[in-house]
Amino acid sequence: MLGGRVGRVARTSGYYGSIAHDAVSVLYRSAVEGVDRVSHVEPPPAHLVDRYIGDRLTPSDGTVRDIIARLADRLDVQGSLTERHRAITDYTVVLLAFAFGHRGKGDLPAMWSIDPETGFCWIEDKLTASGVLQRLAWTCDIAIRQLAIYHAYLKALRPLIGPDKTGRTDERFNTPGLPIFDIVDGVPAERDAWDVLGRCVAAHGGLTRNAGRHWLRAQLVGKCSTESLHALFGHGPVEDGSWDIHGALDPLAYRADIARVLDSVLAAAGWRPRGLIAEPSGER
Amino acid sequence: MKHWQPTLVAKPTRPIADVRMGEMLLIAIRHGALLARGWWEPWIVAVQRGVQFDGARLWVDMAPADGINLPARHRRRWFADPITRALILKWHRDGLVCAPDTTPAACLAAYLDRDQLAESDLDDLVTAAEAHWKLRIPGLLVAHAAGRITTASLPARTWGEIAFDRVAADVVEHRAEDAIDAGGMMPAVAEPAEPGSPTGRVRSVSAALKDHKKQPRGMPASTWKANARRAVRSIATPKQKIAKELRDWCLWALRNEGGRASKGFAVSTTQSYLGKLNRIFSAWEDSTFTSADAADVRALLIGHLDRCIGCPPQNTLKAMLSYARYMARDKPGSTTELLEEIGQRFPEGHGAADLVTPTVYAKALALLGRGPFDEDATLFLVLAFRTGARPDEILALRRDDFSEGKGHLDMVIDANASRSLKTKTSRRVIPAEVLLEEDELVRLKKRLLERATKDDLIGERWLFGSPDGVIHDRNEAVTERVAEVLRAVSGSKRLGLNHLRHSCASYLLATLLLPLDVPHPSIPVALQSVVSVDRRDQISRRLLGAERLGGGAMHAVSQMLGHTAPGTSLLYYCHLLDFSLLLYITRPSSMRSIDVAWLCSSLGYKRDTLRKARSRAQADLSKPNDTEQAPLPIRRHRQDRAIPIYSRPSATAISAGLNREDELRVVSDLLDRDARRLGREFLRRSGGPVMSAADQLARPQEPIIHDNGRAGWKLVRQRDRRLLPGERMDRGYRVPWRTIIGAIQGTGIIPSEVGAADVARWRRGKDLLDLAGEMPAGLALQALVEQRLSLSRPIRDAERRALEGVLSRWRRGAVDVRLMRLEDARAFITLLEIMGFKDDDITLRLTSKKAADMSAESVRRFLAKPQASSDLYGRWGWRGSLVVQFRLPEFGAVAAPAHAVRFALVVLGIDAGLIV
Repeated sequence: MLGGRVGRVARTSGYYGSIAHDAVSVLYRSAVEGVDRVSHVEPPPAHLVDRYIGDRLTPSDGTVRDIIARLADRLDVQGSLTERHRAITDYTVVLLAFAFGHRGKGDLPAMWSIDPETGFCWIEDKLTASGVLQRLAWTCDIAIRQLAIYHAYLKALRPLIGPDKTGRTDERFNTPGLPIFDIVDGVPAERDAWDVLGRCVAAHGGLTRNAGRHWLRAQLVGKCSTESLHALFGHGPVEDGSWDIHGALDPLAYRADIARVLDSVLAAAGWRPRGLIAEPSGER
Repeated sequence: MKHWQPTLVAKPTRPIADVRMGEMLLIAIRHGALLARGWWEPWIVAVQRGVQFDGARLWVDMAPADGINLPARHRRRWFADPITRALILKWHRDGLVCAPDTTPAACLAAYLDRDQLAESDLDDLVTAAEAHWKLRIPGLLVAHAAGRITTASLPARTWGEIAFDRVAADVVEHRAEDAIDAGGMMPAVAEPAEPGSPTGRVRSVSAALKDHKKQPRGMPASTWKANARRAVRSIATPKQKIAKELRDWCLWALRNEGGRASKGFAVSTTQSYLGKLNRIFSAWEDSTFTSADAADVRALLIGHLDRCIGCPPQNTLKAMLSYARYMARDKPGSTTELLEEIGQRFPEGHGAADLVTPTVYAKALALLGRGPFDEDATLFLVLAFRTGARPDEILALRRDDFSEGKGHLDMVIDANASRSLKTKTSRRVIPAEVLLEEDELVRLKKRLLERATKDDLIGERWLFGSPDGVIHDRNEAVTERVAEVLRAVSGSKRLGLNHLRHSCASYLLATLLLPLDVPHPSIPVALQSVVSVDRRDQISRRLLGAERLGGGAMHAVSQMLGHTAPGTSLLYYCHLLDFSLLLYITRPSSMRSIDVAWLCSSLGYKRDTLRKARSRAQADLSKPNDTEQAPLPIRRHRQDRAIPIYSRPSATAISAGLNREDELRVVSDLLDRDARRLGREFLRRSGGPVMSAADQLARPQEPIIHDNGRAGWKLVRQRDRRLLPGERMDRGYRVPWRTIIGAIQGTGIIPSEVGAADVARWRRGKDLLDLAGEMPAGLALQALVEQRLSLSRPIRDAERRALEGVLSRWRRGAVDVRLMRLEDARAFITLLEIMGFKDDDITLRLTSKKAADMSAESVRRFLAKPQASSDLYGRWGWRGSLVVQFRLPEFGAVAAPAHAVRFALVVLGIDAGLIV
């Protein structure tokens, strides 16, 4: 920067560093008014202060623990099939969204989309003008065990659903990504990760659906290399990212870097692999 | 089709060569990252004809096939992974050859026992393999493996120097290179020769341009080009129409074409393109030329392109484009089709590249120091090789362009009074203290100190120039001196100053790309001074940052070179990507699972071999691991050799019960052993590290001659002894008898190391001994000679004297082997032993009547302790002489093996300098 060669990455801080932060916020708000619903100027209300880190995009650890506790409580309830199905689906989806830093759009990875030798999977959760962006995420142990539990649950669930009346039941169980569906009147109904995150995360004190992503990044900063963070969250220039033609990042070094901290970060927040307290049964 | 696995072929129904080739190809794609489909066909050719093996690494050099839009001189190197290496060695052991018209698809279909494979099947195969490698190696190397990066690999000669740590790896290649040196291009790929003498008609224009080739310091580019135009215009209008046309094109190009500093081509560019166009137009009769006819010009240009074998050189295409634009100056759009047609001919990559090896660099440094400008030349060479800065940038450095502090020594490349920057991004800061070696830093700091002490200077304090730093006018002398020394040391006329920049870029990227989880990567000794783990740690900390994993390596190299984008550095400057890829595909953590049953079947392992390998792996695992607790981000391997330990087994692998560590350890162990076994056989059969399956027996060897310091004593070291790691030189030296036969008979290739004096000496020896009728005929006899010339150690003086005595007798017309002195007899027997003769191969007889009935055993006892036999050994020594006869009954005929042995002794004598 001092040499006059301000790269793309440094340009923002270069510009913003010379203007007072408040003024920047005001300018920003005026620019995005009507588009961005989250206020970056006004601090959160006093009763919500301890629920966030910084602005309202990033939940605090306490908030995350609340979310986990609510989801886990539902796993222990002996409710109807629909309720129990929703409970385990919600818990799995939110856990995976936190573990992968998922944006909520597109598919979550299923067991079969994860490379069994490396634990890597490609995640496509951002659509840009140039197409869907891919990022390479590593599946941590907590996530893979939760996936194993969820797939075992689905396997036990399939016979209970009965014959394929709608003609789409098998389709719901055999999706390219993680099978996410609702059960209405004993029949699988459409549902996706966006819905689940909207109900379980975004409805929780004004968080956004990608709160898990913000939380994870806040947790990993300082513990991982910035290169690993860029790769995990899919940041960086389009078509010149970590895995493109000029990227020299070693996937296994990247994996080793995030594998040191990812499980411990999730475990510290309270995430652990959980199944239903009772096996699925035909009760409704 | 996506998950093709290697399968056991019980009873192949197709030609076995095709089946085995298909198997090798499939494994090379899956395990060796041979992802570029366009290179499969050249790969099949190269695997059969051009395998090179240095005892650990096996590689093939591939030339582009038809249909690949690359210059014909372009070469790509592929290094084999351990499994494919074993399969290739086995292929050569079995002496298989595919039919000439075999295609990759046919081989794969034969192996998979299918009638044919569709294009989509092959695409699926590549897609699946690429998806696999994307999860294990950097994206940069995936792109290289898939052929999306068209950087040329190093020439075979240069890589041979690096891999074998010697000069001239391959004589044929060497000669081809020389042919390129001599003529600019290899005959097979040259532009079509044009009749006549084209230079005459544009000589005056060319001379005028040459006079203005260099832009005077301080003069704006536009003024410089205007002066050149004035000079061209001042030349009398040529009478020939073509010459007039080309002169007019020069004037137009200097004014209108695109230039970096100002509008118009640079003068040197114009002069270069003028030569190209003149050569093209020389096909035209002057009388029939008319510039107005665009169709004729188009036909001429396209005809020239069509006659080129392979892609024509880029400069020729650029010259043509410029001329087409010139033609359309008055009628825009009239040459659109022609422009498009030429544009389509541009190759995707460059033809060839070369590097200054560390050995050449060290020799060049050692050679400098005698000339008048050598102090400057040495510093220039150091900075160019280590920092990769352009010659103009280095020569225009000032004292104030360096800043020291906190252990740093930064070199700032910036515009100054002497030169402008090539591009805006050329301005950069280079961390000299991590790039230069310690003694080089001392040299640089000394120069900086000299300049710094001249406080009273009024001026720029130039780093190069007069000792007081005021005058700055030695540029050409310095660069010419360095270029001259590089050419002399490397023996290549093509090596120039720009190769120093290529070298810096290639070595720097190879260093930054070293895998983090391999503590001791297998780097050729000749490269270890520029590519090493220590150097990576040192450089990456400064260039990338302490906590970085190396993802920005390519960008760092690009910024070091001052390029506008990393693509430029990648496409034109980095020539060791193939080697980096090798390090990644062979590291344990990248290895993919393999079906052990298939491996055992395919490589011919017995059940017991597998059982033993498993036992060894188990024993290895049970040893304590002292680095297990090390707080490293990546688990380091316990031993230096590649032990396949997964850096961190994933939960899925664990839950699936895959004991990958055990499995890979067993596979690795088997492959290591197999490489040693098959490698020895390969080297023995090929007579060296280069294998050509088709003509391996007829092909002469290329020896490495080592002068042992004694006059007339030149021995040829057996190459394979040195190449097999871990083995001692227990078999000593070996004479390349096939080369000698070729040399003295005037057939075959005489290696460049063999001087004319050697050849004359051998021929003289053959003439003296009248050996024409005694050349051993037949492979078995030739093998016998070769075996006997494989000495277990160098011969000593006593043995040399004994051999000399035998040869002297032969020279005088005798044909038997008779030793007159006891010492000679003993020494000769020893010589026969180190030549590999067993007791049963020779008959010993003492000529004394008293020893008429002595057995060979008794003769040996006598020779060992003559004093014990008073009948034969008296006061004045022994009586009689020792006669040695050779009997090799397995050859049948009595005379033939004796002649072969006699020939072997003569060759040994010739090479030992006993026959001159």
